[in-house]
Amino acid sequence: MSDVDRRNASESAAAGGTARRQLTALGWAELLLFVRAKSNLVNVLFIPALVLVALTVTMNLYDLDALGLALGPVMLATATGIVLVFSLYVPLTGTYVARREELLLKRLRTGEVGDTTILLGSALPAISIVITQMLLIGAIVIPMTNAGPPAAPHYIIIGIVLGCIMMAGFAAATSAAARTSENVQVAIVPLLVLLPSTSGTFFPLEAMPQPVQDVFHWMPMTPIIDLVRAGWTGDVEPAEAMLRIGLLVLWTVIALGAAHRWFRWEPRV
Amino acid sequence: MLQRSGLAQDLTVAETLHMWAGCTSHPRSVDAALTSVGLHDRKRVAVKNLSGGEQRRLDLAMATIAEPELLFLDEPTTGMDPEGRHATWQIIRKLKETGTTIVLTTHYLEEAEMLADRLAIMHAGQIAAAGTLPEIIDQHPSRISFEFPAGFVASDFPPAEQFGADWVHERGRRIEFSTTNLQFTATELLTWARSRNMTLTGLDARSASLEEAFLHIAENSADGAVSESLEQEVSA
Repeated sequence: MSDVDRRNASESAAAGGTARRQLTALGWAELLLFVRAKSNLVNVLFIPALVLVALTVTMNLYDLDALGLALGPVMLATATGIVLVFSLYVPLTGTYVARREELLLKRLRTGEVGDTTILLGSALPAISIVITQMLLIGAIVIPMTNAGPPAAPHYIIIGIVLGCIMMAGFAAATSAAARTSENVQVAIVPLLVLLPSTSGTFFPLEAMPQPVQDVFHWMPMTPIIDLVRAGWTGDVEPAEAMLRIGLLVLWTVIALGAAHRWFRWEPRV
Repeated sequence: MLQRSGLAQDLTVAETLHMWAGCTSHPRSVDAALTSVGLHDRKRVAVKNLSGGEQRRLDLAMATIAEPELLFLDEPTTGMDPEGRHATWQIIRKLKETGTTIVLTTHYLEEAEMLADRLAIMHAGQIAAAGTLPEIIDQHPSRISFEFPAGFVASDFPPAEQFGADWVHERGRRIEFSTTNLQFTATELLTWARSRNMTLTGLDARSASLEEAFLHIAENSADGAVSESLEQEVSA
């Protein structure tokens, strides 16, 4: 290791430490704000409960056995979709708009923190809530449906991690469309409807006509649902799984590109 | 001034500073920063419940968390009550004593006069005058004005040069002189009046001040646009 290498290594280690410290500071502040908004706490507990009740009812409407599906993995995949939309996409869009309105984003940008760190720091609480909710739901659904442990957990992890990044990207991009906090409820509607209904979140895609399935197969959230489901059943060819991961990566890049292109740091005048 | 100065309204004072310290290299302790701006006993109060002046002081605590060598303060006391303004001046003096170089903009002349080592008056986007306070004031004359009693006319007075002054104007019975030597002019004028048993009412002798200099610069501008002053404060 040359001196230059060593210096670069210690510099990047210092930079890594700085980024971690900044993310902790921003994430902690955002978590405090999250906890302080009472409606958020209700959502965190309410959404998983609602998901479980709704799923148990709706899944009985479909003849899953005839579609070749097992109840446990379907419920877990569906829960992933709902949690990603309602616990990450929706609140994070609101968070970005609120921080923009408060001029907090503008102030943070005057400091040392990089743009990506600011956006990621604000997203950290929502992401940790997604993971907490998934664990809660898993802890209830797995014993309830005798789903057993996942056969290929790495697909589930990849699906959820990329899903979180993609949803954060969509949230940042959507926040540009909402002029004020009041407009957030309108700005989120398109993706709120599109993402779950085209991915098999609200109802299994297998229950739809083949041409519809062929189109929805390529939509942003479909690979997440597929990966979580396949990760549980293990019922997937590695090549097919790679294709689904590739598609999810592509949508994640598109979401981040949209965020990069449209995100607004200051309120419109 | 920003209505909401870029602070999360639902965080407390201490939480806001902790966040900012975490985003800054080599911060001093949050408690030290809070004490220095006199907000220590308000540390658990939500930002939205702070008064305007307290928010500006929190602003100042954030700006000084890394103990900067150079600090820009844009109208730090605008919208403050007199108490908050005095507290802020005290903070700025302390920062100055510890060796911070401060560039401060303000509309308050007394603030500039009191705090600045060097100051510059901006007018219509240009620096119209710059230097230390005496340097700027010395470029502008002192003024003395009075009313002469009924029964006299302005032409009863000798030429202003006799008092070492310049004739500025007369309005009704009020006459105004400008002078670079206020003591001499005042003495000559009062001696002259006593020798004639004349009572000068509403006698007003004013040394050159920053306000005079400022008004002079504003008046002499062709467009009469609203002036803005900027002063620089440089510590050793």
